[in-house]
Parts: sequence; C-alpha cells; structure tokens
Amino acid sequence: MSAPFWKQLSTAALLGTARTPALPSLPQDLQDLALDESSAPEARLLRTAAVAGLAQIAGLQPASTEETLPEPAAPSPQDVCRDPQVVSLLAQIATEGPETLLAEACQLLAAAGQSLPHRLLPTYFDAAYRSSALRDPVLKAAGSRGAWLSAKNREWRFAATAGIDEIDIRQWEEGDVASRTRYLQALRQTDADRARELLEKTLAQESARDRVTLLGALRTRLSPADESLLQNLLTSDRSKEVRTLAARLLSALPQSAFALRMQARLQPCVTTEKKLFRTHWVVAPPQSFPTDAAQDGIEEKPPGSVRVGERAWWLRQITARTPIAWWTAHTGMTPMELVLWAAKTEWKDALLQGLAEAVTLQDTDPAWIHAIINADVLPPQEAAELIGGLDAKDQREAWLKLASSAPSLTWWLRLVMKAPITWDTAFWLAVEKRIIAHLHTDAAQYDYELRNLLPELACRIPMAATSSPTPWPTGAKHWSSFEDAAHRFQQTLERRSRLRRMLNSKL
Amino acid sequence: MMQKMPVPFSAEQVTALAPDTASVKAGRGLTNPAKWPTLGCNDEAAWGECQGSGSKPYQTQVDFTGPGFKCSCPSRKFPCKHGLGLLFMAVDRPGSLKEGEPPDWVAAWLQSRRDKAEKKAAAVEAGPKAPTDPEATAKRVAKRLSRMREGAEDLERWMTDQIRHGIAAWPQQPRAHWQSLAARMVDYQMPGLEKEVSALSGMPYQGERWPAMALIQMGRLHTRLEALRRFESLELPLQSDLRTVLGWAVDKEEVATAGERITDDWAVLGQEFEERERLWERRTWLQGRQSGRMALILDFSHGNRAFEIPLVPGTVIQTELLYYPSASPLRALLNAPPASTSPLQRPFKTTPDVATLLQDYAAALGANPWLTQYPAVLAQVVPLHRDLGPDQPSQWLLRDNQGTLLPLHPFTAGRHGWELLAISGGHPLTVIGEWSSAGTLKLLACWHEEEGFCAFQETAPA
Repeated sequence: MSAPFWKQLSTAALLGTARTPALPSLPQDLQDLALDESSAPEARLLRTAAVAGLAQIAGLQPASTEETLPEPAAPSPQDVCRDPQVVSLLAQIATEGPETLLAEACQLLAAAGQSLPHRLLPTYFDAAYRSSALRDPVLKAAGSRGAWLSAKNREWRFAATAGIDEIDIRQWEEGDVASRTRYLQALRQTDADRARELLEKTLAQESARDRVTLLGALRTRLSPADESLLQNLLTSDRSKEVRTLAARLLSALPQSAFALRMQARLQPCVTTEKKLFRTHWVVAPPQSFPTDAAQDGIEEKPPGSVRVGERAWWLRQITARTPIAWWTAHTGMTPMELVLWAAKTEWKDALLQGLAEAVTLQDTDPAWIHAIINADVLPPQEAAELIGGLDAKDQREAWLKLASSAPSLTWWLRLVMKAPITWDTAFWLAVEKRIIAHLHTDAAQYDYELRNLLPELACRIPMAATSSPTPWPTGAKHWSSFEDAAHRFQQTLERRSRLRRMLNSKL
Repeated sequence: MMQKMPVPFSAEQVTALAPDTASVKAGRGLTNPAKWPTLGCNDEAAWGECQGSGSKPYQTQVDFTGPGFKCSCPSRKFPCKHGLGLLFMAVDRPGSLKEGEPPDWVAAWLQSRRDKAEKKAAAVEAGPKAPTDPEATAKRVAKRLSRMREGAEDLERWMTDQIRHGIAAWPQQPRAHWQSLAARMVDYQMPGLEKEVSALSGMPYQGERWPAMALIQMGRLHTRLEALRRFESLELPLQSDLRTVLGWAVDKEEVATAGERITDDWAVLGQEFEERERLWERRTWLQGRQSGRMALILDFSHGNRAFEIPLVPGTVIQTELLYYPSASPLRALLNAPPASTSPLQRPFKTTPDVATLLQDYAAALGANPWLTQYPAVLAQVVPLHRDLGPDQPSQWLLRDNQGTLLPLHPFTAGRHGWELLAISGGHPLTVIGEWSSAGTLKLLACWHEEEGFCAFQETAPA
C-alpha cells in the first residue's frame, strides 16, 4: 500500500469517523474483500486497515540492487584454527576472560602459525576495541579473514592503522587535551623543535590546568633547546603549578642557567670539615633566604601542611631543584654512600626528601633510584613510579621490598602485575607467600578487589612455576569467601596450560 | 591417535542448553577431572559422580539421545550445573571419561527412559484413553464460544468507539486505557488477545507512522473477531488456527486424532527464545529429511529457561511429529522423545531465492491470515553490511543471486551480523531465519560449505 493511502487512512482514524467519514479506496480486487456497504463507517475503516495490512505483508516487494558485490575475502585460509577443542577453549576465554588470557591465547595461536576461527573474530575484535593492550596480539592472530572483516567495521579500524604511529595533526587541532598531549609526545620523538613551537603558540590560550598537562610533554626528549621557553614560563606564567613544573624541567637540564644557579646555591651548603686527620662532608642550610631564590620558584615559608623549620625547607627545595649528578661530581661519593651519609647528618629529613624529589623529577640513573628506594624516604606511591628505572633484577627486588610499606596488598599487586618485568619462579613464590599471608588476616574478608584480581594474576605466573599447586590456606577463617576466586584462578592456569598442550606450544 | 567422539554435540551447543549464564559458568567450573571421583561413558550416555558440598557425591547422567539429563542434586535448574559440566567434559575432554558398561544406576535410568518413550508412543497409538462424551464436549464448546463472543463484543465496541472519536489523544492516555481491556480478554477466555491488545498501548511510541501501525494492529484484531462470529462455518483447520491466536488451546489428544503425523529424521535448524513476564517461550524450527517439511515446536517455561525436552540446533533427531490441524500446518508436537540424536551435516532442503521465499510466505498467509512467523532456509545469499554513519545502527541485508535484498532484523543482526559476515567472508552461504510480518528476517543459524552449521544463540542472563 502506498504512503498516501496510509496517510489518508491514519488521518481518518486520528480525527475519528464521526468527523471524516471518507476513506481512501483500496485497489479493486481488495476493495471487494474489505467492503460491506451496509456496515458502519468504523467497521469499514477497521476492515480496510485489516485487508491493507495483510496485503502489505503478503505482497511485500523486496528491494533489489544491480551493484556488484563487495570484494570478498580469500575463500578458505589454510591457517584457520579448526580443532574443535581449541575453538571451544578460545570461545570460553573470549567470554570469561581475563583480558590477559585473551592476549595470551592470540599470541600462542599466532606462534603456532594459526589464526582465529572466523566466527570468533568479532568477539576478539570487540575486546581489542575496548582494550588497546589487546590490539597487537589480536591482530597477529586475526589472519586474512580478520584483515578483510575489520576494514568493514568503524570500531575495528585500529586494525587498518596498526603498526603505523597514529600521528595526525587533526589530533592536535581538534582533539581534547589528552589526545593533544599524546600528539605532542609522539611529535617530540620525531621533531622535538616543531613540537615545542606548537606548544609555545597554544599556551597563551589554554587554562592553567591544560598548560600543566601540555607542558608535561616536554619531558620527552628534553634538551637545552627547551630552556628559554621554560625559563620564560618560570618567570612570567600566572599559574604557580606551571612555574613549578617549569622549574622541575629546568632542573633536569644540568647545563641550564637555572640548574647552575641552583648548584651555586647548594655548593656553599655542602662543605668539608677536617676532624682528627679525616675529612668529613657536612651540610648546613643557608643562614638567610637567598635574595634571588624566589624568582626561581623557591618559597620562603613552608606551606602549612609541611611541618619543618624555614632553613630546612630552603635546603629541601634547593636540593630538589639541583641536578642530581652534581652530588656525585661534587663529593666523589656514590649515590648509595651519599644516601647513607645524608641519613646521618643533622639535616637528614630535608636532605633525603630533597634528594628523593630530585630523583623523582629528573630522569636519573638506576644507582640513584636504587639508593633512594633503599632509604625508605619516599611514600610507596612515589617509590613505585621509580622502580621502572632500575635494572631487571633490582626491579623484582624493589617490588618485593615495597610490599611491606604498601597501603594495601591489592594496591601493590595491581602495580606488580602491570610492571614490565619477567616473573621468574622465585618471584611468583614470593608474591604467592604474601597473598597467602594476607588471606589469614581479617582484612581478607571484604577484599573483593583481590578476588577480582586473581584470574588476571594467574596469567602472570611463569608456566614453569605452575607445576606445584598454590598451597591455599583452606583452613583460614575467611577462606570460604575466596574459594570461588581461587577456583577461577586455578581454572585460568589450567586453561593456559591446556592451550599450550593443544597447540604444541613451546612458549 | 584418533579419539572416539561419541557425543553428538559441540561445546557451543551444550552452552545453548543452559538455562542461564550462571549455569554455564558453574558447569564450566566443573570441567575438572579432580571434581569427579568417577566418570564414564559409552556410545549412548555419559555418567559421573560429582563431589558436592555434602558427604555423598551427586550422581549425574546424560543420555546423548535427546539429550536427557538426570542428577541427584537438589537444584531446580534444568539441566543443572552437574549435567552441563558432565556434558562439557564429554565434549571438550573425551579422554577423561572411561569408556565402558554403565553402572546399574545409569543402566536402570536409560532403560526406564526407553520404556517410557515406547509406552508413550503406544498410548498415542491406542488413541484417547476414554471416548469422550460428544454431547458434553459440544456443550462445553458452546459455552466457551458464547463467553468468547461476549468478549468479542466488548472489544469490538471499544475499537468502534476509538475509531469513531479518533485516536489522536492516544499519546496522552495512561496505560490503563488499554490494560483493563487487555486483562478482560483473559476473563473472556481469550488469553491470546491480551498481548495483542496491550501491544496497542505501545503504538504511540513507534514514531510518526504510529497511527498506521495501530490501525494494522486493530485490523488484525478485527479479523479475528469477525472469524469468531462465523466460527461454526469455518473448516476445521482454520478453526484450529483461530483457536491458536485466541489462546484456546488445542489439546494434545485433539492434535493426535485430528492432525497429520510424520515420522522422519528432523534437523533442528534454529531456535528463538522470548520472555514476557517471566514466561519463556521457545520456538524451535525443524526440517524433515524425507518429507522436506518444516515444523515449529513451541514450548513454554515459567520462571527460568528450562524446557522439558532439550532440543539442540545443529542436531538431527529421529521422532514422530504430530502437526496441529491448520490451514498452513507448521506447529507440531513431538509425539515421543527422540529415538536417536546425531550431528547435523547440512540443511536437507533450501529455498533458492528471496522471491520464492516470499511467494511461499504469501501462499501460507493466504491460507492462514494469522500466521506470524515463517521459517526461511535461504541458499546462496551474501550478507551485506551498510554503515549509515557514526552513532547510527548499521543496516544488515541478505542478497540473493538475483540481486534481491532481504533486510535482517536489526536486533538479531546487531548481535550476530558480524559473525555471519566473518563466516561468509563475503561469499554466498545458507542462512536460516524466521521471517515475520514485520518484514525482517530474524537470524537463527547459517550453514557454510567449510565452516559447517552454526547456530546463533544467546544464553539467558542469570
């Protein structure tokens, strides 16, 4: 039935037959079916609608097209995984997770020279759309069918641009502050000067908060060429946060005028003293507030939240802004020796805090990070951020050490699981020991976060370590609430090993 | 080493049997040989003892024919997690089940299932138990008809009134405007009309074409009332069709005496579930190997999605079907539980193109104007995806080799269109679906030369 027919019939029904007795007419052969002249207009309208409605569905004229079909995919790729038991396991993993296991399954499949079953491609692509960490592994296992399919879905376009660094000026011109910052960081890698010029042009129009975020991009490949911009910001930016960040970045440039001024302020504070034929290094803060220090962002009065004397406060700030390498050069001590020395001085707190801040702000060598972490001066949150700068073996040690000062087991576990380190059996056993100890405590009762972390944790464990089962504390007071999570943990481990077995994987 | 695979199901099919996602998860959780002190199987069945929380392990058994489940656990879900777990084990880890003779408790159960099936078939063969008193039956029918006709008058009066004064005010009406009328249809012994009348209340939200849709819906009601007026003069098959849409159940004995019976190997081609106020409806589409006939098995389950006879898409069951009398027979009953179950290799019969499907549908509609769903097994179609821009739902179509386009139901295609496209790779394949009067095809399954049969199903959330 045509649109005007329905429009006319609808109008009649909307207004009511009491007002519009006229009905549109049906084609002749249908009209005969619908009409019974004797009946009331209401019945005639209903009958007309019934006949027209039925005629419409029975006589549906489907659309057709002359267009050629879109280019099909290669008909039957050889490498598609067809083993029903592997397919079944891949489907289970896709629906039950955890995410890391999806990535692992794809890696194993790709390593075995196979690709994902066609039917599962959408599920794996969707997961990769939600989590960028899955993109690489999923793409490696997607095969030729996956490449063909992903080009058809707007959300799966990441597959098309994979491998190419997405550096597109539109991100800068149209993006939000996060994507603009990412753009700057990417550009810093290839053309640091151009990135700084873009930043300089935009800063005046940005809010203080966005200025801080964008300026952070200069950390990538920071060089003396950035000094004048930073110095300008330090002297004239309206926002204290921007000035502080500029000062931090300048301190990471040892040859900058700023860094030299700081060294000049620190130098008279760290001196030698002869005592019984031996030379000792001693430290003493400036006696009065250095005249030009304020313009370098040093505050005269400590903020209310910091309970220290003024002189200690000055020393801490100067230490924090002086290039950390100055210390070893000036005193000839190693970072570890320096930290041990600082801990024995009268100005212990100010010095250690200052050094720790300097280490946090500047890209420093592992020896300093190691020394600072060992000194236990940093709050665990900040210590955790430094660990990545250590050597692999020291990282594992540092993480284990951090566990005791961590605010909670799950806080620590989450970071350890994310850390880019290889877990060896010894490391897993140490982690396991901490979890088991935690399960004996009362805090375990409401630790839902830990329960949720366990399956993901199972993906982190080296396969070699999985031969001996975890000695779960089944007698612990709150064990019953963990049973299910422990089961999922075990199941994940088991799926990992089955997948390897079925794919004859050596990984 | 070639592993013997006695189980006619895939893991995916086992998943589809579960009443909800929680059962799948729990069942999966039991696929660990350590949880099963004993585990065994033969060609017909699998059995095992599963350590539960009690001291005595649960005895779980699965008859592959059907399949049938039995477990000594107290769960009210069906199949329970132990049954699912056992079947998952049999499918995914056949090596962990020891092949051999079933223990007594299994043998006894299997025997009783076979006996029951035979007895049931024999009972139907023998016809109704006691010859019913024709006079009493006629009296009962007359009484019900007169009650229903009262309801018909009530509804007709209401519709006439609406049309006379116009439906322009519908968008402002509270739900009560329709609800009490809908509820009265149940009192008038026409429960089938309740849903149809309530559907009117949602019309004003259907976009600008809502008055036309409301009219079509009222027109559908109008023809039923008209037919009811002439009930006695209708042929028996059409009477039966009318009874179906009014909700006047045609009972099994009537079906057994009046309907057609066909024994065949039936391919379970597709399944669709719908829930309305905690009542689950399951529509299963079958196709006969020799007869080539299509059949619809309709089941209901209250509360959760647990149906007495599991029917698994992608299997072939051997059984006798009893067709409901109808001018366009589709709906049928399983006369007895399946006598054997095997995996489906490919659909037995297909429709060559869209034009043929629509012709068949129009012919069926000509015979039974109240037909709602119609099965489609379309060969050689290519799924097409049309991106209508960001934030717009995609459009999904099937294109046959004539270039004719058939729209897919947006909801089912939204969930499974990409899977269909991935399987096809842009090449023609066979699509199984449910064509409806709304003019879209609900996607149920597909068959592809290399990929085999693939059902699109969703497990109900817990």
